[in-house]
Amino acid sequence: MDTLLSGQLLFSALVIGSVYALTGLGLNLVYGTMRLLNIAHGDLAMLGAYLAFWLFSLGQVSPLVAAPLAVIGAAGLGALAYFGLFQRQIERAPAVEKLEANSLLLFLGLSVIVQNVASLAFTASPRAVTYLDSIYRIGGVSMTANRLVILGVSTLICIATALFLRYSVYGLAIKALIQNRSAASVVGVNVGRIQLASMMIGFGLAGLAGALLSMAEQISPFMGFPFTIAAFVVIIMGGLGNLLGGVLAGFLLGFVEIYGVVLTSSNARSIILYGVFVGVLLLRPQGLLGGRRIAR
Amino acid sequence: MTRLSPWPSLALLACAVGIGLPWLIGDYYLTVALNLAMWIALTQSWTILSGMAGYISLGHVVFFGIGAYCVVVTWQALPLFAAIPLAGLVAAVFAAVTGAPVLRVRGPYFVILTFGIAELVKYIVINIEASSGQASRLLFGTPSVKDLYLVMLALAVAATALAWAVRRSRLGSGLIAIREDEEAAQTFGVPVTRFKVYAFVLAAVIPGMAGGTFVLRSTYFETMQVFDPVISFSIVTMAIIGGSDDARGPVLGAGFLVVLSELLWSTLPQLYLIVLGTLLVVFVLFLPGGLVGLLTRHKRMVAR
Amino acid sequence: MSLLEIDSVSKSFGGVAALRDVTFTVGANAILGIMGANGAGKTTLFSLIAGNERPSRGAIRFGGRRIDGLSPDRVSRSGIARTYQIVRPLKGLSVAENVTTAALFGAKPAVNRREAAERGAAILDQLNLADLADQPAGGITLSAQKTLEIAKALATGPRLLLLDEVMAGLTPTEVAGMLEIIRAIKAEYGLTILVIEHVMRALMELSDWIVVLHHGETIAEGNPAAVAENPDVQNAYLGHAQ
Repeated sequence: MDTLLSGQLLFSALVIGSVYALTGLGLNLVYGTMRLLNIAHGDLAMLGAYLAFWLFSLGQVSPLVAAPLAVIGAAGLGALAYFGLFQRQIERAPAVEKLEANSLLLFLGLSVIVQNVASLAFTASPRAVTYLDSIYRIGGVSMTANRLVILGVSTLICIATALFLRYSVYGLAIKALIQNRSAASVVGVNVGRIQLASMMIGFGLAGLAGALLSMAEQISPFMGFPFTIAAFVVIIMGGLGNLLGGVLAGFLLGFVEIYGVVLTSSNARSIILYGVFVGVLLLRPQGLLGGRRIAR
Repeated sequence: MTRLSPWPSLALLACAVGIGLPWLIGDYYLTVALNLAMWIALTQSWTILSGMAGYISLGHVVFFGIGAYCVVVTWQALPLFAAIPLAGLVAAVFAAVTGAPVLRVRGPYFVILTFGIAELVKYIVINIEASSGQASRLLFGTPSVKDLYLVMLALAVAATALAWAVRRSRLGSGLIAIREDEEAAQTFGVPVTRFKVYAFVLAAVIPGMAGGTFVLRSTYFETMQVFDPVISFSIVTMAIIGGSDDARGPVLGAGFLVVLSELLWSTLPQLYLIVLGTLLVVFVLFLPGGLVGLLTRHKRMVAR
Repeated sequence: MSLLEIDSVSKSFGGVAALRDVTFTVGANAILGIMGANGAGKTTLFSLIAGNERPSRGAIRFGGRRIDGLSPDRVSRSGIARTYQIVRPLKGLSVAENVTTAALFGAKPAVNRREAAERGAAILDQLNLADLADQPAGGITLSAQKTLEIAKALATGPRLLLLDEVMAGLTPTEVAGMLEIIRAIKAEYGLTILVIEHVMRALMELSDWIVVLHHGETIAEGNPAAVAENPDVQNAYLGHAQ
């Protein structure tokens, strides 16, 4: 019982929750505006992590500087994916569900390509960076500086995105698009441009999560997978397209994972993650916090 | 088609050649043939639900792994002619039990759900093995490659025959209607839930037996290997490349990929997967009907 | 005993009441017309009968047995077939394959493929769709697709047929043709028919009896002539009594 209530656990849960929230937010943006389930989302984080790693190893560049670069790089990939692949698919697709299933396979193929190219280029052995590993003790809880930064930046970005969506015109347009695509275009929302922007932002957020994570965790070419799954869990638990719900669900998942492992065993970590994933999909495909099905 | 089709005779010829193979080629190529037969069996079974009803499964490996685990667990306790069918039965039961709730989920959510279930089962088995102290298991005294090849060949033929039979049956018509428009199909009387579960169960049996046979050939059981999501991914890619609309597709797709892997796997396994991923992307974008689609587009067939 | 009984049926979606306390019966071999402005609840009524939705309150009886709450395929098997207002052909299949598939299911499923194909061919003949048999169902005209909806419904061997605005978008000649077809199939297959129609002339000509819905409630019921004279109906349609 002592360990369960410890601040240490709370801190770990918050840190990982914030990363899940960040990646989930990115995926949610892409899915909400384009109905595309990016199964390669975690791999974007992987690429961001490797970028930060290489910049640090070769150029002593701080991951904090690499992070915005990772965002830009990932956003660039988003633009590439949009123009290269999806514009064509969206125009051609007959039924919406077929488009979703097709795009899933497409992203799956891309994911396999990216992971294996990375594996060839970087070798499969995990790498690590030591950065900002000074430890602070606050109220009996030891927190490494890098994890504090991760928590801080992730939370900040989530809040910033929420504010952006709430108060900027672009943000409003995105929300409108998520709610009802045809209605949005009728009132003058430039669907194509907003979708492009969402894709770039969504991808960028994933790249950011990866770059941040490289400070504290080991990285490997196949590290993306669990993050993709976590991101899916986040958006399904939070309600598809419900961005705020997704953020909350991210933190919730972090808590479930950390406390679940404590209550069972570290072996159970994957079982918990996939168990929640399967459970949520079976019980509430429209999300725990989401409302009725979003209109198309 | 009123013209006599060459395909049935070709199929018979292929079977005859297949049966004669152990006397014609050495063990190495026999293993390749065994692999080919295995992938044909897996992909044909996959098309029963995912091709015909359009419920694309990314977790088909779960039946393979369950079957493999079954044979390993009953090793020495049961004779093989009972253990392998039992493996298929257990996989089928798993499908029957999980079918109704799982098949209520639609579209892309179904796709990722199947992936999640396969991973979940994988980690559960890993945990079971870990808690009983086994990291991997070795099997001694397994049948020869020749015998296992013949079993796998039989499974490939059975899977092809099963897919062919379902497609022509009332079940098949119902599944195709479900793929086109599930609600409309239900409205004119297709018992959609029941049919989907039937298809799910039928799609599970042979992979279960194939998994059991596979583990006998490799003589060791490692959970990560028999539940590897790359297997599910390969099945989907073979189906998309070959085409999943009739029995020829999986044969073409499997053949193509086995040849490719022979060329690339020993040198660079990652390169093989990169090529696979690229092929998947290319075919989804430009050739959704697969290689068979190319053939039939020629004949302008509309009815299936 | 009437073939179909709608007994105090209500249906709400969220806070919106689509149908409120609707009651009427349909005798065997009758043609009942359902009239009402858009949003009056007509298609919702069909969805409730066919099992696509469940009533919030009330009961629906077919041949004396309750069918509300049954799944659509079970309702189809008991002998009710519906067409969709927004047509739903199986686009990837040919016209003939559409009907053959339907013939394998429903109230009187064909024993095998061959019988289903024969039944399908006969129905396509009757509905003048025979020359489109090998066309992909997604590629034919809307009017042909509407006829295909009827063909599919018919192929299941129903006793009760629900036709939802099958005349919409047809030219006057086509409307006359459709009326002929409906009367012919009713006679040949001994059908009872419920018709939703906006084409007033067609509805009046076809129906033995009409039920008028307005904002989810029945405001009038009677034979076509009586309904046409009914001041409440005129009010609802024209805003004032004649």
